Amino acid sequence: MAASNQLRIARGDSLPPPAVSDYVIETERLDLCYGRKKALNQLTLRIPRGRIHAIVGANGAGKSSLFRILLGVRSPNAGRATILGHDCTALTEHERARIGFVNEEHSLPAWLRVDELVAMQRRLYPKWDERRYRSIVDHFHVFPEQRIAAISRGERAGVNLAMALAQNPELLILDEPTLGLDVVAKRAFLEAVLNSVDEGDTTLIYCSHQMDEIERLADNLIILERGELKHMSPPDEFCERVALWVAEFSFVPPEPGTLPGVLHVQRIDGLFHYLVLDQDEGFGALLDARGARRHYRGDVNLDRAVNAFLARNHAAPAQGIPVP
Amino acid sequence: MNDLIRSEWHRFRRLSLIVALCHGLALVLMSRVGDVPQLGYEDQGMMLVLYMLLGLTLALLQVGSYRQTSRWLWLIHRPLAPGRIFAALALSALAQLSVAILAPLLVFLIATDAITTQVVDSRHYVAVLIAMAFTMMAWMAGAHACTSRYKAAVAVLLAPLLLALHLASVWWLLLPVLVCLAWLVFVARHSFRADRAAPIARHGVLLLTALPLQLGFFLLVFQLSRTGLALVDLLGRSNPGRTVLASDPDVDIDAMMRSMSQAFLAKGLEGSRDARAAAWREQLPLLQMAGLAPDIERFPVRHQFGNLAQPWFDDERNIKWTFSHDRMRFRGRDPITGVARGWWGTDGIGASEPFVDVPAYGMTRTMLYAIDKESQRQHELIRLPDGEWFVGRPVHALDRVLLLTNLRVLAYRPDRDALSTFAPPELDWQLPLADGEPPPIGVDIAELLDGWLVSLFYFDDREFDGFESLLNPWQQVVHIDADGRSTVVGERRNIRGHQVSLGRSVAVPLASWWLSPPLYALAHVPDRLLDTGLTEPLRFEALPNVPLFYPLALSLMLLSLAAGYAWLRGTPVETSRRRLWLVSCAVLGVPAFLSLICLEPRGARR
Repeated sequence: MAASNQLRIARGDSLPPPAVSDYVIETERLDLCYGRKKALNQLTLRIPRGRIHAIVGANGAGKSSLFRILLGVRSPNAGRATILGHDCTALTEHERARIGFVNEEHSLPAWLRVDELVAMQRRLYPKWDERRYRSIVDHFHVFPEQRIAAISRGERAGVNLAMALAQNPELLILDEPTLGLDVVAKRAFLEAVLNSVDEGDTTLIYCSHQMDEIERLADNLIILERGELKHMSPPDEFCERVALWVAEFSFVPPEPGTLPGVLHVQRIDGLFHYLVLDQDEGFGALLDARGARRHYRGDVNLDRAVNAFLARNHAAPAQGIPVP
Repeated sequence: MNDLIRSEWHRFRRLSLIVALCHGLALVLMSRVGDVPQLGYEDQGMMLVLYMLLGLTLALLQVGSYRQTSRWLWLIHRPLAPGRIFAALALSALAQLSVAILAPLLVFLIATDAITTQVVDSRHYVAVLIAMAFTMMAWMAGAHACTSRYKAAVAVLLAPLLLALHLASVWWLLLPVLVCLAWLVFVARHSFRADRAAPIARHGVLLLTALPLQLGFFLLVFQLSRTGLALVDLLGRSNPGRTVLASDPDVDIDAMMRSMSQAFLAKGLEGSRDARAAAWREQLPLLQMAGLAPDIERFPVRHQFGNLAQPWFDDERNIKWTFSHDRMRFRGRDPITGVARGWWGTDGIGASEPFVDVPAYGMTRTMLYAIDKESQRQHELIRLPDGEWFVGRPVHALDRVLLLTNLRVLAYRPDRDALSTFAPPELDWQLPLADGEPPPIGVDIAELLDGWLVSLFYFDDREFDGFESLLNPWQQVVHIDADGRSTVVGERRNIRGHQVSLGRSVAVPLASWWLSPPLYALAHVPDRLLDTGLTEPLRFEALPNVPLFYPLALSLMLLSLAAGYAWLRGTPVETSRRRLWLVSCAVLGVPAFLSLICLEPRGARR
């Protein structure tokens, strides 16, 4: 059986099933097209309230398109989407006050000073939490009298996040917020996110290509691929689905395509490293049957598992052996 | 909302102040070399275009900077209704443009009024407000283009130019200007939505958004087709415009215009059955000729937006006389020292009697007067009866004063018995114009021993607010005997134009009403309603009578209907909306179909 056919698509069944009203995001058979290209393809997704949910996917998987629909700046071609129980195409200012959004570019008015911008946001959001803002922005050593245009990208990200969290939103969407940040800024950013989520009851949707961040933050992992939902479960469960099998063959190794669930094959020092999906101990027996002199099973981290998962339908990496 | 206004103000305040400073300096510099409030309407039109470009530029900088999705999200995703966000941007733009444009203009006018002896009327203050309104319209059109799916949406700006920019009284103009401004505010506000690509939901909003777009497209298609056809004509024919002067006056109107007078009059007599025609043709090269033309397109109107009537100078006394629309009298001023030199009424200097109409070219719409520079008195020479007005400047030739009105050609001779040289002249003869025709574009008069020969060339070739009406050119030759009796002695109708010729009609305008008859008619509504001082206000015909163009117009409507139907087949719109669009395409033609493409994008979800 081909590996793609063995994919188990979990739609929230790994998490305790919440009440219908407890979903912060619900989409049903969502379609979005840009010309002939389908950005979202019959996407049905339910994200429960609370915790940190990570959305990952390769470029063009439909993450940003999904956020655009959820925030009401783009209408789907077909299907329905709700956010906090409200139709995304008709969000009012009251609903928008309950949703925070931080994007990768940290678009802030460059012509304002930090204190002017914060004062503006403070007046705009009735649930503004000054203590929370201070606690986060202090991580980034930003001075109030600095102009937005004059602060670094990392500092801008910090101010943006601090403002978003100080609004006390019920739902906060972070779209690749650490893109382009240096290690120090990224660490400060993640600490700020973790501290804030621990304090409040904000549901956080975190979109990133950085698996170390996801591993550290996420309670729930959502994988999108070509506009479709491919997986949804806690990260640990996903890691359990992906296993590393290392085998040594006396003669000719089997063609990767003839083995079930193989995501990626790599030859290191004469040993064949198979990353396989949804395979139990029977895979070892299969390797024996195909002439393996010895084999053993190892664990994989989230980064390797997700990368192998996402790469299976794309061109293989330079060192790997292509999997048909 | 106030914070957003302040933020946007903060963003452009330096730029606004710099523009305000440059604007103020430019006004001061201009005032050193000329009388800014009395600049001609072409110059003031250029200033208005610059102001509108500033408004458009501000919109592109301000609203256009939010076109990128991430920035758009920052603007729109906040606990403020889109209407309030739009209002904040618009009010901020109003503040910026008021600083950059309105304030320098008002300060300049107030200072000119208070400090100098130059004429500043109430119309100037209102004109400044109108200029500001047009600037805001440009901002609205720019904002609309930035938040619309297609940048071509900026074409809505052409609609107010068509409907509200006229040389009418500023007080009358306020109404169409405010209506157009409100209209564009409505259009721009409703295009300012979170989902900028979504089709407009409500039918009423759709109609009000589509109409200015259609008017704009009408003008664009009109200009493009005209240019295109002119290019084809230029490339395909021996157009006199690109060759040496055409030599055959039989076939070329331009050549005919150049050879007017004797030769042209002789041509008119070629087919004459009058026994004297041959003799007149022989005499013609020896006769003295005079020509008249309808060279006054419009007279100024009171409180006019723009200046048609220019000041006149008394060189001997070094006085510049500028007409004040508030007082309806000329105000004298020494152009060097700036000292006031009194007022000029209908009787001359010091007279308190105001003019009834605004004078220009030494006359008013119905009155010709002369000025005695010695005594600085003004004398009325000729006054026309009600319903008649001058369409050309008086010509002093053949010992006569020759005049062309909308109804007659008049020849006056000096009253030799009068004691004063400024006595009213006596009517020598008059010739009624052909019924139902606009005034002839050329009148040639030859003095015979026993009377006069008058050639009248009827051919409507003048532009009318960018549109041209159509008329077959024809010539009539009339003999006036010594007693003033007139007899038609020659007529010629087989005159071809050098432009495109369709059947028996001369299609001088190349592209016109047939592009969309209803929009053409709508575009002329202000011409009907507003008094812009035109000497031929009734020249516009709702649908000029050129039979061949009716099937052309009908074909375009059917073509638009078919194209609209094909477009809507691929677009999931509801039935009532589909019907609305199809009716619109059928009635309004090509511009409606173009607006359909913009406003009902394919693939968008309903």
